[in-house]
Amino acid sequence: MTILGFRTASLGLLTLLFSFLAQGEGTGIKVALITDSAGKNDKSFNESAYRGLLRVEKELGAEIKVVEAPDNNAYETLLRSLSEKKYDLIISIGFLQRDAIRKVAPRFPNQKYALIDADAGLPNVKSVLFEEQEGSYLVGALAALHSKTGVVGFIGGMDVPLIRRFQMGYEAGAKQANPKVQVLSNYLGVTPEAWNNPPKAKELALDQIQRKADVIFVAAGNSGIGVFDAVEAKKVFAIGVDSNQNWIRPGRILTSMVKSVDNAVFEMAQALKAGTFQGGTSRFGLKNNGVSFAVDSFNKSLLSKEALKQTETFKAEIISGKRQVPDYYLKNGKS
Amino acid sequence: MESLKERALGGGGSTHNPVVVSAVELKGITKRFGAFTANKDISLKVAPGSLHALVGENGAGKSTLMNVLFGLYEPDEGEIFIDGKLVQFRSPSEAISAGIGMVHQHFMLAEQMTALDNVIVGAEPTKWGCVVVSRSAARTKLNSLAEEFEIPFQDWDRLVCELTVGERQRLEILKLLFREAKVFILDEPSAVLTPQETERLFVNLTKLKERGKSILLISHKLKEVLEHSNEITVIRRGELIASVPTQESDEEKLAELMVGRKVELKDLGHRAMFANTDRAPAIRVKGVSGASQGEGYQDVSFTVMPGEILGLAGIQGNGTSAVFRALASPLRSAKTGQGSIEMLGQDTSRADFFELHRIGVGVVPEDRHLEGLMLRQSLVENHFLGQQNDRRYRSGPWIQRFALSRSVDKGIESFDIRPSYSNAVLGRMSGGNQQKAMLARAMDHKPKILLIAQPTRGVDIGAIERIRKAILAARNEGSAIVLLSTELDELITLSDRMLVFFRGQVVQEFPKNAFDEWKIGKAMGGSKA
Amino acid sequence: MILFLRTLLGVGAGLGAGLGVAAYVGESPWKVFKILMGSSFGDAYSLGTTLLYAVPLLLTGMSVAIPFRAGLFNIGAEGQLTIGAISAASVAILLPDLSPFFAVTVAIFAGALGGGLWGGFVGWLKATRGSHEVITSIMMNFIAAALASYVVLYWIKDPTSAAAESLTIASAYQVAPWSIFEGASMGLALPICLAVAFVLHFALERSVFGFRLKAVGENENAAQYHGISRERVWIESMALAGALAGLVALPEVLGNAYKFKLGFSPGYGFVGIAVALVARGKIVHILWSALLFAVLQKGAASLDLETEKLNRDIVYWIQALIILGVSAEVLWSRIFEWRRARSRRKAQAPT
Repeated sequence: MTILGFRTASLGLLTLLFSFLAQGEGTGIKVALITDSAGKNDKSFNESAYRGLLRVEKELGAEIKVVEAPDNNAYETLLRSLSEKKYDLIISIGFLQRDAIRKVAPRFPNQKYALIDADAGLPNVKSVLFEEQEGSYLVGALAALHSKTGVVGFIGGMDVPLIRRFQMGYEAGAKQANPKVQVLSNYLGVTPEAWNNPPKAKELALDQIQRKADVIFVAAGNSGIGVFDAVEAKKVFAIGVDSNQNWIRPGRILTSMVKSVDNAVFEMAQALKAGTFQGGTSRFGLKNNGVSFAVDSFNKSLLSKEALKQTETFKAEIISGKRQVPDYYLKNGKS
Repeated sequence: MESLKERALGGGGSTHNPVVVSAVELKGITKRFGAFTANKDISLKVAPGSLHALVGENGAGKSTLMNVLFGLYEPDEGEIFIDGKLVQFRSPSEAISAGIGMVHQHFMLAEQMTALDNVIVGAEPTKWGCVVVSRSAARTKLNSLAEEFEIPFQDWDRLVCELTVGERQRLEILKLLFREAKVFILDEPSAVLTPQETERLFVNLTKLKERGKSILLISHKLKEVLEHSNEITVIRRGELIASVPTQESDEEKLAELMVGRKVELKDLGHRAMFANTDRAPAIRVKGVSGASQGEGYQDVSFTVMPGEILGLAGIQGNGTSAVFRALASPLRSAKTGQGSIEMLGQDTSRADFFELHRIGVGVVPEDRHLEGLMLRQSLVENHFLGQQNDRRYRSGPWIQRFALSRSVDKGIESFDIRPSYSNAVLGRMSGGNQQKAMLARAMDHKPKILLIAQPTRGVDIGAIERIRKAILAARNEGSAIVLLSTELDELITLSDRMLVFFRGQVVQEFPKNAFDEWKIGKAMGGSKA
Repeated sequence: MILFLRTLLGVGAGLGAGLGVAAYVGESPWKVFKILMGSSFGDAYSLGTTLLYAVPLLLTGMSVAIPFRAGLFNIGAEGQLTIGAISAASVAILLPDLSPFFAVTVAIFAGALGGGLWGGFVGWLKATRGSHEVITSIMMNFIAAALASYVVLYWIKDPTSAAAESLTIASAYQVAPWSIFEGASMGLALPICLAVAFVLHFALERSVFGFRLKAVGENENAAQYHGISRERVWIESMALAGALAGLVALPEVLGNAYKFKLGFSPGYGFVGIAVALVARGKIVHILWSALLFAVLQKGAASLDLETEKLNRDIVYWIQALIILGVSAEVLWSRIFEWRRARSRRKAQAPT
């Protein structure tokens, strides 16, 4: 009786265990992504995250859902609705979602979240930060080394601290590579409209070209395309941002400062599947390939060997800690 | 009346020669706009070389009928014959080529073009095979026309904006002659003229008549119609009431036919003037000069006694309107120099509208659409306009709707405003009722002074009677009234005294016993009688 | 009343057409409708967040409608609400030690004052220089955005944030959400803004102030003739409009974010134009029209979330179609009027 009882019980337990495991195997994980209002096809930051998610779907067999927030008040509602739908991981793209996640995450302590580009400081939120200044430093150096006029340009989208961080790293890198270089900087605006204004970006680029700039780094979301048009028309060079944008205007885009949001998304999903996902803050810099500059078939011929060598040296020095890159956040009190 | 009608329909219209084919014949014309019938089965004949007058109240359908004849409307029923031939006009240009011309009340002339160009535009004589406009040919033709019809006009190269109203009218007539019109339609041609100019117009029209042209004249002014026409057709509410030979009619009969009841226009119970000189004047204007809306006036002085109506006469642009605005809306009319305006013992040369209202001044502005009313609003809203500070209608920041609409109801009753409910929207009312609404508003606070401009412009005869009676009643109760009107007839009927303005100055003052249309008209034209 | 029914017809036609588009791409219109309703009114939290959109739209709708009475077209509500919000946030950050009651009152006042000055300036420019309010109010939108950006980046910046946003306002200024909304940031702003709407409704319909506005809007000349200063009306109505837009600081800064965020408004000032248009400038109607646009704005994200084939763009379709439906209705009556006017003109025309 007792033996029988034990056997039955253990059998039952085993069955339960197996079915449990089987369930985990069969349905896979569910991952949701909330883009900011620029949307998943912004050819830049949000798109990079989306690409990572598509890889998650393909390679990890996950069920995915992408939602584009219509405005900045929608993040909270979206986070809440998705939290109620029992996704294994909800990824919020962009610093604008920080407040919403700080408000919603504590209500769903068992829900896992990830926040890109800002620090939520919550145990169930993985905050992913990129060292944009490091990548910008390297493309700044490349820009200065390839400039024939000794003038390089920077065009930012909305004037926010994040983009200032790009600008500061870029300027430092350019000056390091060529102390006599002149860096022109412009911003598209002070409203979110700045991310979606290619005509104005083109105007600014043409203006910078007029003032002798021959390499222009653009960090302006959808507006970047306007700069690409300008450099194509005037036969100078641009540097893309966030995603690898070299393919957009082959031969005119010197390189792209790639922020590997796709890799970060993929790695988190991988960790989730493996059961090792944890909250807290991760920093992605040159060290762990979170930021880099893109070299591919589209721009290989544009880059000179010496310049690449010089830039690789800078990169090694930054990784080893020998070289300090100025950080706009640090300068402005962020610890 | 029935006999008149029968006769009109049966006997044809011609007073000249019954055998001759009519220049124009309308047969059973009916024109509807939706459910509204503007012309109902109207038939009339115009004999060649005659002047046929068309009289009737506003909205009676005279203009519609003429627009049918001129090709602007196609009639729903009925036929048009020109010289006995059946015609059908789909546009005015077809009517013009059939020899019909129209002089509108508001002249259709381009002000910045020369007189000559205005005449030939659209009918340019050309030379070198349609390439070059031949102005000289036009000039020659026009000069011979002017000579033939004895319509003197030489200023072919002057801009139209420099011409007087009378000259413009002659220009319009010459324009029609140039286009070889045989039938002339004139819509209220004398409304804008002085008596002298009117006289001259009819001299010209007579010349046209004598040379075989036919004339259709729309008019309000029964006197001139009786004096100059050969035949008169009366239209009321879209129907032809009567066509009568002129010599068989008189003013009283015509007015009755037009309105449908007995009307009194002249003898309105005008009591003898009782304003006496020992009482202080209610209005005292001393040496005022200024300008408003491009119209200047210099050194104007006058007084108005309680119980007196002072008429301001003058051709438009000669200062009457500007002086009126200086009285009624002092803040919005620039004054210069030393002059002063005093009303009821107070200096009002810088008073705002509420100040005037407070001391007991009521105003009926000159242009009811532009200055007087909010056409999309109701009687209540319009009654409140200008009375915002009246204690009866206001407590603190709030409007006393109840008191206000009660007062509107009273106004509706005493002025017979229609439609007779306080929420009626002004824009849907006739001009006469709009005018009555303004008068009711101006008289609402029992003013001691009334400043009234153009009280009956474009108003039906029935309403005119009512409005004139109300003005006289206010005078008889002791109000001092300033009356501005372009209808000399009206000024003569109502005023106790008249000031005639010419080029911004008072050229002559007429006491009631010296009223004489001819003399006043002469003064309006600038020469002292 | 007939006007209202006709407007409703326009709204219905627009909504129907929008749902038709949804059906065309293969989503059941009924499902779309249910999602819209559910996401807006499904539970207390949803209702609360819908109101979070509706209350600012109510304010900006009135901000457009009131000058419209006086014949002015306020396109500057967006700038006015930006200035209102930055003013309220600045006060709430720079004067942290006020007691809660005063704090909130002062901040609301600051918001209304900031927006009011911003709007009043447009009226003043029109009154004194004759500048057209449409041009100036659009330009003032840009200036407002730049000014707010400067203040937030250099004066009251939150140094720990990557975004352009201010420090958190002092706790005395934070208006707590009502618990009945289950976590949605909606509270005191609702009754206050409804009260404002109520008072304004009576002010417009029953007060001498409302009358003066109407008189200038209906017939500027007659109003001036009868002692109403149109310049004063212009300035007053634009200042009031700005103050109303500035009040958006209450639901957004004091009641929701507790800070000023650059670009926090999803175009409230511009959607307010549509709100006022659909309501034909009547405040009672702005109440439901603001709610309608809030439902659509709120539903945008939910449609993206709950359906396979639709994304947020369908809602912009519906919004546009509703505006089209309502203005087409205006168009019809215009066409009628125009035809009548044409036949009248024709009656007097020359050749």
